[in-house]
Amino acid sequence: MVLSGEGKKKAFEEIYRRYSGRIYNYFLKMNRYDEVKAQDLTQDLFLKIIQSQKDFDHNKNFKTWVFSIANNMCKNIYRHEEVVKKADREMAYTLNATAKMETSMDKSRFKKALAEALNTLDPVKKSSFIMRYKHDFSIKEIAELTKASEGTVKSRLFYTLRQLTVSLKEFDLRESHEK
Amino acid sequence: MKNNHNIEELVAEKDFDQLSDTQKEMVIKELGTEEAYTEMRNFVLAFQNEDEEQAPAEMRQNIMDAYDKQHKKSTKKIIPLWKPGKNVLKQPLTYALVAASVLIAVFILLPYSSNNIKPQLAENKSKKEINKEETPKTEKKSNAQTEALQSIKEDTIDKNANSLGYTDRSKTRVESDLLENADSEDREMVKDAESLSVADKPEEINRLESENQNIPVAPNTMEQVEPSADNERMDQAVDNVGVSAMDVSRLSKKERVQSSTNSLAQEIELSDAKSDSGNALSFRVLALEEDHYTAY
Repeated sequence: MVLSGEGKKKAFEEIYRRYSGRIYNYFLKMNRYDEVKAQDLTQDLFLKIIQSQKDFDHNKNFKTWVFSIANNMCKNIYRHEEVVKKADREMAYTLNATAKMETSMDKSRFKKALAEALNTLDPVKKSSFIMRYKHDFSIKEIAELTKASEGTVKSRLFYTLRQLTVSLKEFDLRESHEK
Repeated sequence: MKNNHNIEELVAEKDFDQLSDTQKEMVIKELGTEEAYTEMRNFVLAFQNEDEEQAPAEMRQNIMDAYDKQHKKSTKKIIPLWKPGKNVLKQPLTYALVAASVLIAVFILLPYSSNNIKPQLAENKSKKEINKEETPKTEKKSNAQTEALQSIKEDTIDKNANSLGYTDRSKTRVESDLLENADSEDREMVKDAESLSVADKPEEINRLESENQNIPVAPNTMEQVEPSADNERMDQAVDNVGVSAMDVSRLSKKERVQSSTNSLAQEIELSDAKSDSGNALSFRVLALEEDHYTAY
């Protein structure tokens, strides 16, 4: 990050290589797998990184810093999409009902069902869940990012995990991860 | 729901079989059954192993372009006039610079603003001064001419009176007699000569000279005189001579010519012209004398 701030493009390219996929997928999951929106948000995030390279505190973890920016961006989006969110919830129930009827395990379907299930979640819980199980953030880091206590983060994660497991109970998940 | 046993961490790391007895007891207590834990574990693994979407290539290009643009901007080396972060307005040097610039501006602009009047005053002054300086010269010139003419008159009258046998008392009559006896042409010429100012009326001189072309004036005498540093004085003297010579010619009498040439010589001596100019004039006068004598 220091080298990138000094204008060395290769350093920035390395940052992009490491984090672009993660951030893009984070935005995808946080935004109902909307690829266009995820792409825009990823670009905006990297622009923020470029513009605020000099402001970055090198004592802090870069990954935490990047995801905190991403999380704040998602929060701002959710604030403006309350109405859409309600509509998505209604749609998620319908999809969930449809998924229950399907007995065979289909990756794409699971993905869709997972997306819809995630969309039913509260944004803070969703982001905490994604960061914890997708991006290997520690409880402490998530607590810093969400500005909450570690106990609160644990409770949120446990509740979210149980809710999602129940929602996607019909899928034979054992086969998927064993494959 | 309280979670004091870190089940969310165990789910991500271990299968139910890998848990310790204490952990198994805790899990069964919290979740109810082993299957609930296994389902949760399977879901977490499926979520973690979910295929990641690749970021679009076009997005990469856009971001790199943005980085290049930003980097180009940042490479511009700007030398700051003061250290960044300091409040410039609190620096006494700033106030000093501002005051100095204002003073400089005032000193530069004020002369320009008052220049619209002063040059005219200067011109007026200079013209007045020139007039003042020129006036005495012209006065001197005219005085010298009148004196010369007066002396010519007096000499002529004296000589004529002597030749005619008049006494001093009756000299005054000579002038009137001469004037009475003179023809109208001579009178006019005398008047012209009196009113003539060499410096002010060069055209008049030319006219008179053209009228009196029959009077020989040594043309080559002036050529013998080489131009000296005192040209101005010489010209002045020559002009005086020119007038006197015409006066002499207008008398058109042998005696008059003789007397006038004598008086001219005196006049030249009296004038400011010295050395070169004087020599030149004397040459000219001598030439005049010779010519007049030969003419008569």
